[in-house]
Amino acid sequence: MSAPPPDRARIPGFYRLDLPARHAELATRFGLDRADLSVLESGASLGWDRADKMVENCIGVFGLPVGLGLNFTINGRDYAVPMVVEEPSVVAAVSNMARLVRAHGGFTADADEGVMISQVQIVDSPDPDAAVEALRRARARILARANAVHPNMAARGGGARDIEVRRFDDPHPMIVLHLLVDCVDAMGANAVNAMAEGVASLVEDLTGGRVCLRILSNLADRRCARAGCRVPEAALAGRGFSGPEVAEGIVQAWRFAAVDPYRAATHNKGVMNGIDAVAIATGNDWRGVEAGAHAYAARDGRYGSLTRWWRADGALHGAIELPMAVGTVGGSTRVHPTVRVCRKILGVDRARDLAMVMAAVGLAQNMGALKALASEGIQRGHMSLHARQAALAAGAEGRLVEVVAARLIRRGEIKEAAAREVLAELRSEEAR
Amino acid sequence: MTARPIGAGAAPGKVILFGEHAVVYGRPAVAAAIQRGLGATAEPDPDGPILRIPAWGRDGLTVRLDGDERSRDAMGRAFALALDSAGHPPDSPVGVTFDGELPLGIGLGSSAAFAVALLRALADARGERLSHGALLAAAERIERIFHGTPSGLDHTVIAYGGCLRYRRGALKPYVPIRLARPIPLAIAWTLREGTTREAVARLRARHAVHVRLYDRLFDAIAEIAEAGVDALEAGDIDALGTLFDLNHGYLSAAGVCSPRNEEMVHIARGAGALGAKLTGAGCGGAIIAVAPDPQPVIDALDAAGYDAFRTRIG
Repeated sequence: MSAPPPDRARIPGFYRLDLPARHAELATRFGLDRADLSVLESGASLGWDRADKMVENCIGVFGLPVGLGLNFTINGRDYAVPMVVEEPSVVAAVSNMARLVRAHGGFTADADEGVMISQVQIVDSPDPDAAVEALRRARARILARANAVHPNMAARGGGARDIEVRRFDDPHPMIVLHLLVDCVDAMGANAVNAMAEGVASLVEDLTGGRVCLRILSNLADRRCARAGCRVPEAALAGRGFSGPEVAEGIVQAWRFAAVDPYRAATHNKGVMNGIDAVAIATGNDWRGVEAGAHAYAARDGRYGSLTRWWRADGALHGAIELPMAVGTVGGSTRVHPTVRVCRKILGVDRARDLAMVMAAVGLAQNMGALKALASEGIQRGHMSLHARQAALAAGAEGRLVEVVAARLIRRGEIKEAAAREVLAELRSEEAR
Repeated sequence: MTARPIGAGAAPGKVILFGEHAVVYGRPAVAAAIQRGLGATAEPDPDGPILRIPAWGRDGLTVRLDGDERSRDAMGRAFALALDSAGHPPDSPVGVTFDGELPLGIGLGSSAAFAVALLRALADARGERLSHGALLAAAERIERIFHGTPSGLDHTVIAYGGCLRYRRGALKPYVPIRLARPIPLAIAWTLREGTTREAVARLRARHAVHVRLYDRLFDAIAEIAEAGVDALEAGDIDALGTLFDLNHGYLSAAGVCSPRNEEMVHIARGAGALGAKLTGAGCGGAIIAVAPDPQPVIDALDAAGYDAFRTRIG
């Protein structure tokens, strides 16, 4: 009889282990060998030679910590999630929230097919109405031409699948052709750009106009990932706060982001703390993911929250939806040795699975931030409430209640005895 | 997302990097898919089955399957066979549209790319993907319609993509080659003077007279092909250039290079290519040149009046 496979997501006490002991866990649980572990140890595994081929004027290699986000259960499957991030608390917060969610069924998630949008800008068209019509009629031919430019994509079951024609009028009249390209497991930037380039001459023939830009859009809203979670309110209780108090605090914090772009920017930054960290660890273009996320957050004309939180049936519910243009093949995913090891730990082959993991990480990160902020808010609320009670008990009356309470909070000592001292001080000050 | 569902298929063209002609005599050849090919879309069409290729001929080519089966030309028979292989009924209301900028009939595998793209698009329109085995078998039957007895190299490398070493009659005729990095190429071409079959027959007649002399030539080409595999796996484009030049010299000696092939090769070398050679059966047709930046090579060939484009393998 063989032993059950080691748990992939839950490693109790991982944070208390020293580095060699953590590596021993990685070896048993994820099958990392000596070479993999030494890649993690070296901190500069990319190496001078490879780095020099990646950017111009290369002068060195930069190191960042790799943390392991634990406890993720997504659609019933366990994940440990490598995260490259320099900010403290990100990995701890995400692991804590994932543990909380895991205890109540884990995250649900889904992701669209890997459809990227490639844009072709057409100007100086003598008859824009006719040009739009000509493009729409030539849909099949345009798609055939696009696929001919990058045959591998269609061979893998992807490829250019549809077109959209958009027309802009004054003050800057132009026609914009979208190619909708299923990139399957690739992020797809190169293929999509090549396809836009490849259809340019055909598009000029069809429209009589001139093609200017031909490049992908980072607003990859056909390639969204979604995640959801549900935690009974009772499970949120702690540090002297009731479950409903914490749930209400989280929802209240979310409402702030929902109505106010100034708050939403910070709220979404917290979401991206986790998502970017996974994007970097898996060799993906996190600037592209960032651009897509923030543009999507403003899709209704006003910048808002990428997540939603609400209370129902005695539980706190959370959901996230955002574009997730990430790949598991091509690009730097195969160049960087640390990326290779991170991918081995994560154990994800399909781009859609990676997108789901990243959405769940974003939601967990957001939950962690809101819970901390809300608890802090509740704490402050509780403190002033207690301080007022202490002031009253010490015999303060009228406007003195607020003054005594404020001094108690400043002293950080909210007790009746302290309140009596403060009151005595105030009275002697007044007497003088 | 898609209002009208569309089936998409595509297939690359191919180049022979080493070993053309020698391959007929049991020596290895190396071929690779290029980053340019044919694309096909298949969608519901009340006029179907219908095949449209707007870019071919002056007014485009349209193939319908009405009328007597025996009166069909090669395109009609190929289309009917593809429909059947991809699981469509003979009267399927499907319209297929082709496009792409792969030049035809010069040894870049356009007929095999046509077959593979057509099969993929028709299968995709039914929400299916053909297995490699089914795709290869059906593509081979379509290739037979166009070429009689094809070697199989074209549709194999085109269906698999990537780069393959081929040796006729070997236990494992096709061995994939892992390229260390993509190789930039310039391809130029001129019309063929005669068919592949004629070129092969002419060489066979000479070989029959001077068996040992030609066998020695083919052995040398075989050695070049093996060295070429090493260069591809190492990503050594300088070595690849030298080996292109060497292979081309032997093909000249074999008498399969036309004056225009020679001129294209010399223009490419003069414009900074690391090496250049005939690709395919020769007597006109295409040449390939390897260069870190193929653009000056393209420009020089273009200035001399040749059609040329840049692409890459891997």
